[in-house]
Amino acid sequence: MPRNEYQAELSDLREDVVGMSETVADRLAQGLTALETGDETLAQEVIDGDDEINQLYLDLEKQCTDLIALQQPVAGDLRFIAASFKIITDLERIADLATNLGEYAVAADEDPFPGIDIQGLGEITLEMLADSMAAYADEDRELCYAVNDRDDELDAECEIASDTVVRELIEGEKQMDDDEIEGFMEDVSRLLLTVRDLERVGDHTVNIAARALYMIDNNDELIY
Amino acid sequence: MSREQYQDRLSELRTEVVLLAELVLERYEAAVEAAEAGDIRQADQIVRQDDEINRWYLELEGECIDLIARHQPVASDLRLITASFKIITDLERIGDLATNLAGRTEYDAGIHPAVDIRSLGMTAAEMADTAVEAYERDDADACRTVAADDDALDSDCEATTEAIIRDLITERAASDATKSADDGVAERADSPAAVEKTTRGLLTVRDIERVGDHAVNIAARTLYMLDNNEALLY
Repeated sequence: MPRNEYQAELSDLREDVVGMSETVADRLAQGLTALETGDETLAQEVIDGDDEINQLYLDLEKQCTDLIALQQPVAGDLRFIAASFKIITDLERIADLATNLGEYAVAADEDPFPGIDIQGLGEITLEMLADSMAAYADEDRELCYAVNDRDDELDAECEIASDTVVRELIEGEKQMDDDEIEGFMEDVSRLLLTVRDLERVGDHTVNIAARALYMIDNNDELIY
Repeated sequence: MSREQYQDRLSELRTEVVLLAELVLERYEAAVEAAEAGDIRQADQIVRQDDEINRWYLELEGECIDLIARHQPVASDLRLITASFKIITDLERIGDLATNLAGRTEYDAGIHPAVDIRSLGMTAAEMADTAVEAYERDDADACRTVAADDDALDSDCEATTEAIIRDLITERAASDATKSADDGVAERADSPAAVEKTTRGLLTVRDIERVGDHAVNIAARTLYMLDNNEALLY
């Protein structure tokens, strides 16, 4: 294969990985909207769309191993392909978490704590995802560190949200019979799972940023 | 490099991945024990040792890529290498979760009365162990066992989370009753310590459930490697 065709394949890979991240970001945004509006049709679309992402993921994985095997890339190119190979795993996991949000939206009856700002947390994760992918696509090392710092903020916000739920459970005045308690506990568990899943989305974007930094500078400080 | 040396490197890779898994699971089990017993010294040691796992992980990753680049493996050889490449990521994350558990260990105190950390923690460890054995011995049936066990672990984790929440509601009811009897002088269960205990319980359950998820990832990759079967992959 001529050299310029190889270069074209590398830039195709970059575009395809970025394309996958855009689809995943759409699913995440839709999952959040479904939670906010209780739109079960939208929620079901997110759940059903997961197969498409999974196929995309396996196709991209093959693109990566073919490039490594057939072109025997070295140094920077090899780190770029290895980074792409890892990043698609994180994207696929983020799509799984978006699917979880869709499932919670289908199962939810009522929002037990409207004071918890799920949409605000979701907004942060969407920005982190976009930034981590921009760091990868544009080889922007500053952005890698920015995503890592932002994750501390997200973790703190998630902790505050969980603590608020716990505190309100302790302080709540509402008297409930046993049936009400059952339903209420399911709503509370689902809310805590939602917070946990968003925090995990943040972790995956940090993985992406960490891989991008390793690709750019051979610097592994964010990898663990 | 001769064909024979290449085959040696492949089986060496598999051995190394299994050894990394043994180290990670040993750390994780020690973390579960430390959290249960409130053994701060053991917990500190686990936190300090995480770097060793991380180094090893990056070395093995380099080995996988080097094998692909030098030998252009196809079919099952390629699937073994890509499986190894992905499995070590899951092992590294289990190492991180062991560090989380260790970091949450409190001197001389368990995690939370509603959390049977030994039972949940060791169930997840056994799943990971079974998944690694499946990878080591090409055992497709064991892969499916891990996936089925994860459903049980998830429902145990969910039941534990609900028990933690139920505990709060019951404590509240009890303290409300005391409060009205004592004309409002009794303390409610809303001290920072109560919130911290609850949060610690919830996070611990979450981390153990994640170990189970990583075990499923390992099993899924192994099944894909063995049968080119992506049934468990997602």
